Amino acid sequence: MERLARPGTVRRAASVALLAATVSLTAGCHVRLISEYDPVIDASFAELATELDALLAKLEAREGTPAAAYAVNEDSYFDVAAGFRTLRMRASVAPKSGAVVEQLDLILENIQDLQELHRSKGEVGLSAAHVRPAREAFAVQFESFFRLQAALRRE
Amino acid sequence: MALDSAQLCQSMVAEAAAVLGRDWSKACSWAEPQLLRIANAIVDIELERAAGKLTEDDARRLLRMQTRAFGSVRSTSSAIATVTVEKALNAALAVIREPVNKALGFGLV
Repeated sequence: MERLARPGTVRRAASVALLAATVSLTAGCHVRLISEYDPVIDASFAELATELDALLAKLEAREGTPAAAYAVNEDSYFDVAAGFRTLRMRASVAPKSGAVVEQLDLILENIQDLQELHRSKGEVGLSAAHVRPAREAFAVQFESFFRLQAALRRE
Repeated sequence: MALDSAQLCQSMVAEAAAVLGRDWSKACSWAEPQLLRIANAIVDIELERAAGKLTEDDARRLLRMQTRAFGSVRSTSSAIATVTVEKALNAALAVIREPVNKALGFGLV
């Protein structure tokens, strides 16, 4: 599996987190081990996720029609990927935002794979056999991101 | 042999639990249903490939997408655990703040 943290990595991360916590404690600061909640990222992500899911729903519904051809939908991929890249740029400037950036990277890589898959089908477009598992992967990624945002709100 | 989504899910849960250790318990109630969704999608890809509706390259790409979805679940699970640790540290800090600052005569903590 790609991008899996090994136990050693987790231990090292825990050590770094403990050190950071100790430094923060002695400096009289509030302990922050992970980035602050950013409502702009949360709201913008919801819009982009809706846009991408709408594209997938349309592709599934229009299977076998000219509207499913790659050329007809190419701009949608560029637009949604540009939106996620901008979000990534905003997230990356915040301290300790590794988890947010990592998840946006994983989504961007999946958009790229879906686009290449669609491009390879040309005029025919994608079938439900392609769209269903792709949509499920994105749904899991979106829910993961929203769950992460909920954790960052620290309620 | 056909894939079994429950078996696949169990393997992913075992891997995630091994990586996250005891922190897994903080995220597992949310993460396990997500892993089952990924396992079902993998079985779906296998069935469509067997039915000739996906090429080998299509199946490979779609499986890669499921792997990344697993990465997102792992990332969030890890973040939930980190926030839990952070909350515990801040709670511990709050308990000692008043006596420490009072003893020192200034606001160190």
